[in-house]
Amino acid sequence: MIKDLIQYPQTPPIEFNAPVRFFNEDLFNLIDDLKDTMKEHNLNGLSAFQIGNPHSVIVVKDKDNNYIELINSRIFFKKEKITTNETTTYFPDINIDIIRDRHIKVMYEDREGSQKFLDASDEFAVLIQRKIDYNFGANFSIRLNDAKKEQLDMKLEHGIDVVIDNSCPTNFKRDKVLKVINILLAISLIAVFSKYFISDDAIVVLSEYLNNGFYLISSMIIFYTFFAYWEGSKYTNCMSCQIGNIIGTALFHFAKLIALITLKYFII
Amino acid sequence: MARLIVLGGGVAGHTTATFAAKWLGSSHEVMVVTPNAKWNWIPSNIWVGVGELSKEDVTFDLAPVYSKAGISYKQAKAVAIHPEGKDGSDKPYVVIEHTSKAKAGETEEVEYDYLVNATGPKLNFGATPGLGVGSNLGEHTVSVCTADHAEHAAHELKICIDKMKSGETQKFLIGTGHGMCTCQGAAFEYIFNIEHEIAKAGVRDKAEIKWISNESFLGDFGMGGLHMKVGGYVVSSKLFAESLYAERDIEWIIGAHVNKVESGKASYELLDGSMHEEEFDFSMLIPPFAGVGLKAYDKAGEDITATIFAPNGFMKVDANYAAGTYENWKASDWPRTYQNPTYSNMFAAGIAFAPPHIISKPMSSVNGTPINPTPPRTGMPSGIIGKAVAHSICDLITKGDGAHLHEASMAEMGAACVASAGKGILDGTAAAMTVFPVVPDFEKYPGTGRDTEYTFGEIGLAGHWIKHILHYLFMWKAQLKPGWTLIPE
Ligand SMILES: Cc1cc2nc3c(=O)[nH]c(=O)nc-3n(C[C@H](O)[C@H](O)[C@H](O)COP(=O)(O)OP(=O)(O)OC[C@H]3O[C@@H](n4cnc5c(N)ncnc54)[C@H](O)[C@@H]3O)c2cc1C
Repeated sequence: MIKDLIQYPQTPPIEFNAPVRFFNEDLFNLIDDLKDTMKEHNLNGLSAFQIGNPHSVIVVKDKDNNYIELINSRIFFKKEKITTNETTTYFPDINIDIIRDRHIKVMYEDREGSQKFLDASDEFAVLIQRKIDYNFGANFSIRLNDAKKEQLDMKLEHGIDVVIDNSCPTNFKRDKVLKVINILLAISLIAVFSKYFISDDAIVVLSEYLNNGFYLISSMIIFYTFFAYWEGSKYTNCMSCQIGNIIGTALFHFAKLIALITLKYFII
Repeated sequence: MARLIVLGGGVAGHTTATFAAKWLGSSHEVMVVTPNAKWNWIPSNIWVGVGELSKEDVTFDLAPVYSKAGISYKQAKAVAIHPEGKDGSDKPYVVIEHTSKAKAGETEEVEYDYLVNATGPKLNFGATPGLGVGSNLGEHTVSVCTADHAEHAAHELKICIDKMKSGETQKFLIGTGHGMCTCQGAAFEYIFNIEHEIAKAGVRDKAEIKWISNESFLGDFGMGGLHMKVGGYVVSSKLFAESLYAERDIEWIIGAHVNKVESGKASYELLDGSMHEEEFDFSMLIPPFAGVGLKAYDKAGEDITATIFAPNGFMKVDANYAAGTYENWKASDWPRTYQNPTYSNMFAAGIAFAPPHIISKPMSSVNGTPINPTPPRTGMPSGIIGKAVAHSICDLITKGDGAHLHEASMAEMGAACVASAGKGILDGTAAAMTVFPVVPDFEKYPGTGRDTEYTFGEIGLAGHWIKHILHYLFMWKAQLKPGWTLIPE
């Protein structure tokens, strides 16, 4: 039976596939459905995941157009990297460069459950790798680095091909300052509760350290605010929304600090 | 007054003994028989193995802790169990052999009312020629399975780093040393910690780092893989691991049974039966695990080891050992109470219990060599099982034979794995993942066997901090310092 192909923005009804355990009529029907759907859409490979079935089944066409049924397939050998320009039925209008393996060896089971092996190279190897990714619940976007993923999101949301220069970067140096502030807050929180495990003398010392820590954290939040403003000013396109963001973040962290100071007041 | 003997003072045994002593008070006796004088938080051995922690940071003396808890402690290893007693006495007993300096080699018979086998694994280096002999590590590779091994590994790593600093290239091969290994998670942590240290030393360009394992896909971890929700998307551990390996420029060999180790060279068989070799300057290959080789005898002195223990040496418990082939496996095959089916006053906890079958899909090469991870019984399940067993035995002692046994099935519990990928206060990273349940339940969660609502995964500095805090928390808990019972297993 021809099945619907799941395409963006539809979310796949299942999240990942599991191994096939029963080699029975249900499996044979699933394989038939995969082949019918491939014929209808003129595809050279299809994973059960792409039609919403939770089993590790792939059907691919080899170079002579024979259908090969790969059940519970695993790539256990790979050689030589290549960059391929790919498209996939989930994002029909999108082409993306992906790094794949040029030669692979696949172990799989046939419809009788017998163990089989397959050597594949070039386009055929890439096809199998793409389908196996689907078996594990992912389309090719999983293979992209953060920058490329961002480009893909832009393209999907706005139809824009490249990220415009001087747009807001996603990683600012100020985030590192924020990370340190959060770590210091976490340490201080743990330190407040460590009161229950230490001697009275040590509590006095701890309290002093905490007070100094609070001064340090508040200075760092002030530093963060100015540094973030200065850093953001380099990206003219995104300054307006950034100001709100920076002030909000600073206030939020001040609120956390005040909560911590209050906690310390009552506990220590 | 009843006596509970716990064999093994590791994660599971220590948990059982300390909780049982707390719940039973002084009206009953809890005794621990374990060969080492020190307790070791094994997960942190990874950091000892790269020189970031010392052996002292991950161990402490057991004697004062047990004395404080009112637990009798014998530094000895159990050799044989006599569950029916002997001629003239029905009282069951264990034969132990002392290992402390003062009494080394002396044997003793210790009677018990209840027995918990928490002897963990025998590190079966001898299963792979060249990897070692029996449970002793060989000369060609290093290990991080014990704190001593890890110290030695750190020393060897330093030598390699020094060589790289003087311009030499070094090859690192990390993973599993046999087709039937478990503990891929530990090797995973170690390879990334090594990569992190090498990069920190500024010689990453001189290192060729390779992973080798018996997994049929990267990220199987002996659990058939896990899935985690990252930023709203469910990501398979396969794709997560492949991205991480690619990002850190680490090559991988999977579906491999290492069948021989020589100086600077490992030979292995792949799933298609082909044989290969891989050279190395530094290699850490996890050995396969087996039971520690306890024997058992009936009243007449007949050997009943095969009745009580599975062929791999682990103790039989209330699992279904007759599940048959893969398609018949069920979550309900997994044990719930860990009580031995033949002798109801014997239990096993942690790695010492015999699992009914593996968790990942079974695989073997065309030559018939099994190449698949065996089921992991990591720290969290080991601790939870140890506590449940302690609960059951305390109830049996205080409420009588009809008491309800406490349950902790690995098919009904989740596991949280925090895998370190580099240590550092500001530049450390760790992958935190959760999976529910550990053993897939295909009846409850049709198709995948797992509940994705309870999966979570993240990699970053926060994960490292969690891992680091866990180190201190578990060391604190194991030393029975104030509030120890509040810290979860
Ligand atoms: C390098 C490494 C890293 C790991 N990292 C993690 C991690 O990050 N997270 C996690 O959850 N798990 C981790 N694990 C797994 C975890 O350590 C084990 O799951 C856990 O230790 C199992 O507990 P256990 O009590 O069954 O065995 P063990 O902790 O090994 O304890 C067994 C005890 O029995 C003793 N014993 C042995 N023979 C005898 C005998 N004949 N008589 C009496 N006593 C005996 C041993 O000396 C030992 O004290 C790691 C394992 C390794 C090797």
